[in-house]
Amino acid sequence: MIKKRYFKDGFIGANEGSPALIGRQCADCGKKFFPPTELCPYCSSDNIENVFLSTEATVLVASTTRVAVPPYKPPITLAIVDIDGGIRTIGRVEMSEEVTLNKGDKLELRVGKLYEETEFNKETKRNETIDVIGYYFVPKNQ
Amino acid sequence: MRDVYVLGIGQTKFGVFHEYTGVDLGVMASVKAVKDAGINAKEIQVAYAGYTKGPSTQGQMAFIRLGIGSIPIANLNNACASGNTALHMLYRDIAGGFCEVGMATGFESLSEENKRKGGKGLLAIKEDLGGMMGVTMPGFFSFVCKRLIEERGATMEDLCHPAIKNHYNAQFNPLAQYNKPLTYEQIMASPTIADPLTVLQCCPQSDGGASIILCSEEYFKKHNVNNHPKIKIAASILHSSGWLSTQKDPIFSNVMRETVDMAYEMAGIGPQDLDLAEIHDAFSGEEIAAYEPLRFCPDGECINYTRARHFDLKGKFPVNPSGGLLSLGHPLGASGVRVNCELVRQIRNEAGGYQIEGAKRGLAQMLGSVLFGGNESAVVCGIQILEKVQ
Repeated sequence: MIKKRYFKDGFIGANEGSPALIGRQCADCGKKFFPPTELCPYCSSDNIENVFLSTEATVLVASTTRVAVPPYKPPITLAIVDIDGGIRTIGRVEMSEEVTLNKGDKLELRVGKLYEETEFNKETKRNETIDVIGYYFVPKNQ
Repeated sequence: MRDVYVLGIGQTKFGVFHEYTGVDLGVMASVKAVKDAGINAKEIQVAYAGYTKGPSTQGQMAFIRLGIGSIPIANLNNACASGNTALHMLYRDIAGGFCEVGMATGFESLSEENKRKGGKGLLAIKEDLGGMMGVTMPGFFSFVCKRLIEERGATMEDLCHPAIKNHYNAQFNPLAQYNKPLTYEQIMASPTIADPLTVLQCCPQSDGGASIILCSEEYFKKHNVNNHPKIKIAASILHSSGWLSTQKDPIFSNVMRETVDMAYEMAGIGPQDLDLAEIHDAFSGEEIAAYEPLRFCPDGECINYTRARHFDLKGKFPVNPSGGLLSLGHPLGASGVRVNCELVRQIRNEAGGYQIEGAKRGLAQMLGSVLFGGNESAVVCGIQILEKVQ
């Protein structure tokens, strides 16, 4: 069986069975934010709770890196995206064929394997493969 | 708070020097600074080192080779702003009356770092969410270029102009890594890293050191044996982006605007009072995107001013007359001190072929870290304003 791990803990959860990003919302100032931080980054309150973010994202700007950035192989398309109105973050976009992404284009969240890692298992004394699970976006309706 | 003055500067040539470590380059720059100041190195009462790669306490390793020791020494890593940070901490010590004279030295050997890593890497920052997605420095600045194209109508000729200008300027700078002019065709023919950024729109990997000695007014009067013009640190600001001031849109750096406004206020001047600036131009498009936040042109006008050649060596307001990071080179920890050395050289009228006639006041700026700061990575901005006083 192939082992799996998240690329980072606490970023991805299941919203009514569907994978979604976990952000946080502050009960004092009302602001929503991602990635989740320990105190509200707007007002430093600890009165915050986890919320699921929308799985739809809107492109501000996108560009494609043409050289390898380990563990990713080129072409690597990256986009600054807006989620739920007030959240702006960077995501990688996977495309079956390369299309130019423009401001305003809609993307959809996907959760899946980002890359594989090899780790030495001390018990079996063998190298084993681990699938690193994370999130990325795809053009909507792809 | 009391006034702080520049007593001496020192700088190595920038380039690729496999024979030297970062510490070696820091020592060379520091020795030059002591000689330029005309003091014995034992006079130094506090010393700061700025560097980003390699082991701890490299500052102590460097300064002990000048006989400096038994004083407070600290090592500061603020990415590309490490040098400004070292200078800023020294400035505060003297302005606050904690000491009379001290040294800030920035250095880096990226050749040494590449040997350590076993090859040149285009690395993402692991702790940064963008980095985990595969965002690199060129990746981020390709967003900046795309936004300049969309929002300011920039063409590729516009985006390449700082690289052409700064390579032209560096011909006159004997300390520069590259001394040859560059054409638009050469830039566009070089390999693409991240659309639309090609290799020659990026600064090189460099080794080098730069050092500055600051002192109080009283100390300057007593010890200025080399009769240098009196140059005051009119402003020194170290600032970081917070969640609210983070860079939501790569076209406009909020932290740069906040920092420069504090610097103008501290110096009691406006951008129109500056004769030149030395700024962070790790990427050609980055220099253009800095003109507006730094108030070198009105908001929305960066491309028109670029086309008017406003920032050229013979333009109305020269930016990076030294050749900048793009052609002079960018040994990360050294650059923040180097931009200040550059202003001193200009104000002393010692800049030779790239001298700005009658330069009396200049601005030095470095940005540290990346990136988007979408929310996850903070950006450091260090700005100094230096001016000639009677």
